[in-house]
Formats: sequence, structure tokens, C-alpha cells
Amino acid sequence: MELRVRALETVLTQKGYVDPAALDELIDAYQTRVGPRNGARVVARAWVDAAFKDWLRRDATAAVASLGYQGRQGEHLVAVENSPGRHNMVVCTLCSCYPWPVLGLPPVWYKSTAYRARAVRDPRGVLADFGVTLPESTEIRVWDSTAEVRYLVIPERPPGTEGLDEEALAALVTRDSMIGTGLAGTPAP
Amino acid sequence: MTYRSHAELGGLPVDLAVVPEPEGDPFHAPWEPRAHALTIAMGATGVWNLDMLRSVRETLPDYRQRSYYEIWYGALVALLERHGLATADELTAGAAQGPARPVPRVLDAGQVWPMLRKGAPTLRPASRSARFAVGDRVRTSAVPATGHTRLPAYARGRVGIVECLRGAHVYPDAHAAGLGEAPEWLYAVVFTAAELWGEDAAAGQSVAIDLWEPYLEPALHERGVFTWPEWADALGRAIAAARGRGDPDDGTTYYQHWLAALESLVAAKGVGTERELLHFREAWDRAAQRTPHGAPVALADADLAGPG
Repeated sequence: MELRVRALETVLTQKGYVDPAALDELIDAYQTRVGPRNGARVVARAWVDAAFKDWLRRDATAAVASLGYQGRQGEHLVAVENSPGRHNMVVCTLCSCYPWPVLGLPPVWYKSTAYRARAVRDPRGVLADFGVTLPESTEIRVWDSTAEVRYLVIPERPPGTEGLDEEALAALVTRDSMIGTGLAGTPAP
Repeated sequence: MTYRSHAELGGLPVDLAVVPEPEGDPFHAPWEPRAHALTIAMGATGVWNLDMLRSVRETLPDYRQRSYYEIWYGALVALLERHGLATADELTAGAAQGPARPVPRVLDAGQVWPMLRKGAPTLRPASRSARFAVGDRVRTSAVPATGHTRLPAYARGRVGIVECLRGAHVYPDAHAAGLGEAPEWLYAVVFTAAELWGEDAAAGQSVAIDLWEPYLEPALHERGVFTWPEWADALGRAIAAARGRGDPDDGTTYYQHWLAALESLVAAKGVGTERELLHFREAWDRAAQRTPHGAPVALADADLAGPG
């Protein structure tokens, strides 16, 4: 594949369809500028600021943009909040739709046959693969991203984090907890 | 011609574990970020749209044998060849052998970040009011896809409840087919696990799917308008009547019988009169007559008013 992609790039550049400097910018953007730390800051803000969380739940696109994150594959964001009785999990069974501005590009498992096939049918089994077991009484809602709406899960704030500031809280927010295949971490003792 | 998407993975009975992965670089080989960037840069030329790209990806014959970015690469090559932007020989040789074709735009480095920040919103002004409201019971289309669509196979012919309206959005089925944006209302519809997977599915589980209005019909039976025995009786009578008129009875007219049965029940139950049904059928006829071939047919006030 290395050589085939190199050949492709050469042809497209020689024909003038693609500017090599633009390619470098694109690669840099998705390796350094967008990633799950963006989403973690959004969640941490929602945990400490009730008005922000309310805004996030009503209009996630605007609330997230107020922190500087917006654009491609996040044009229409919806935030879904976990609670003791309700757990949310996000999948795209038809391709790989994922909220790029807040989570970056998806991990391999998110795009895998195993996840796309099983998340809608057996979410508890998928959670077990991530080492997560939820109480039987917890309802599970899976969101299949079939349109241009992109979902961000707001995980539950872990117990024992009352004294932490936003930055310390953001460090507890894992990528998987914002997809719904994990829970937010607990602070080191 | 049948349309075959290989991307319909939801609910397949696969015996595969999901393998977690640490956060970090989303790419796993040096060529992957380049294939990703090339796809975005070529998309920015405006020769095709995202729905066309998804359609080409999901119909790659060896879709399920390819890694994710191999799918991206394969679809990009297919589109380049289809639009005459590059030939297979050129891509094998790794050198341009003929002149470039003009493209609408070429993305330059300074435009990259502003373009990514702007994105490509798909929300559009609605040209008519929404057909469904929050709480409505709706049944998804059971008709197999004839082109790119975003109604997953596992949710066809199922009854769900409208959870919220998301506004009118670019309709991918039309957009992928080159018929323009043709915006349609988009709904989040919730299905119970039992509805999707059968009565032995785990309780307390549901799936929400974003679905466009053309995928949905009111679920009349589920609203209690008629019972299944009444339906079976009406369908039996519709089929018998059609046979009496010389219907071939080879299955090709099956849904015509459904329609006839539904019309008779709607009239019999007073949901609508035969006169009303005829009125709307004639209005749709007029709308279809005045609509250019290929464009979506929409009902206008003038169509309902009568022959113009």
C-alpha cells in the first residue's frame, strides 16, 4: 500500500489536482490539532458548569464551538448524557461516522466489523470486551450515526472528584468514555 | 439493477471480539494519513460529494476484505477513473501520462484549516412542514435499497417511535444519485431491542437511528386503526379480487394488493374516505405530471386544488 499511495499522490500532484503543501497541512491537522483531548475539555466543563451542560444538551454544536472546536464531521453535534439509570453508546453501522472535532479520527475497533455488527445487537457483550459491566437495571441506548448528526457521550462524573479543577477532571475523561464503551477514570489515590 | 452495499454490518451474527486500543496516533502505517489527506483534498475539488463517495466505498466488491484506509484508497481510485481524472495505467506507473482535466477547485495550504473549521453542514430550510411529530409510531420501509441509502438493513420494516426532529437535511439517497440535495426532514427514531432482534432480546436496550422522512410511514396497525385478522382478511379479499381481474399472481403485484387492502381499510375505518383517497391520488398524479424526470415529486397546494 505504501507504494500504491505514493504513486497516487505523485499522479495527483503532477496533474495539479492536489497541492503538496495542502496535504502536509491536512496530515498535521489530524495528527496534532484534533483529538479526544478536545472532547475531554468539553466534558470537564460540563461537569463543573451546570449552565454549560444545559447548553451542551440543548445545542451541542454551539456549546462546543464556544470552546473552539467545530467543523468537518462535527457540523451537527448532539451530546447524550449518561446517568445511573441510562448508558449511551455510539456506533456507525454503515461506515465510520465519528465526531472528528471533539474526538479526532476513530480508533480501529470503532470501524471494525466486530463493533459495527455487535454494538446495536449486543451492547453489553461489547462493554464486556472493554472490561465494563453495568448493573442489570441500567438501560442501554445505542445511537447509530446514520446521518450527519455526530454524537458525544457525556460520561458520569466519577465519585471522589469534588475537589478537582477542570484540567484534572479532563485527564479522567477517556476517549472510550465519550463513545460509551468505557467509563470516566477515577483519580489516582 | 440491484444495488449491493457491503457495508450493512449492523446486527450481523459475528463471533468476533472488539479489540480495545489506547488513545494516541489514529494511524497505523505511514501511508494511512496520506490516503486520508488525499481523499479530503480530492473531495475539496468538488467533482463528487460525500454521499457519492460513501456509495462507491460501500459497493467495492472486496469491501469486507479491505482494511479501513484500503477502502478509502479503493474508492478514491475508483472515482478518479470514473471521472477521467487519472487512469489505471497512470496509477500503476506512478506518473501522469496525459493532460489533467479541469476541476472546479484546488485546495491550497492556506485554505485547509478554515475549510476544516467550516465543515459542510447539511441542515437546510424546510420547504414543507414535518409529517411526523415526537411520539409518533412509524414503520420503516421494507423495500430493499435500489441505491445508496442510510436506512440500515437491520432496521427495515420495523416500528419505532419518533424521539426528536432534527430539521431538514440533505437527503443522501438523492445526493448520492446526482439528483441534488433534495432536503428531507430527519428524525431520531427509537427502536426497542425486541422490535429489532426478536422477543428474546435483552430488555432495557434500544437503538436510536437518524432516519429521513421518505424512509418512514405511519404505523397504522400499531396505532390500533385495525387488527391483524382484519388486515389478513382485507389482503385476502384484495388478492382474490385481483385474481378475478386476471392478475398474474406471480408475486410481482404483491404490494399492489397491500395498497388495495390498506385503501379499503382506511375507507372502512373512516380514517379517510374513498373520495379523499381519490382526491389525493389525483393530486399526486398532477404533481408527477408537472415534475421533471429525475426530480423528487412534491405535492403543492395547486395539485390539491384540482385540475389546473
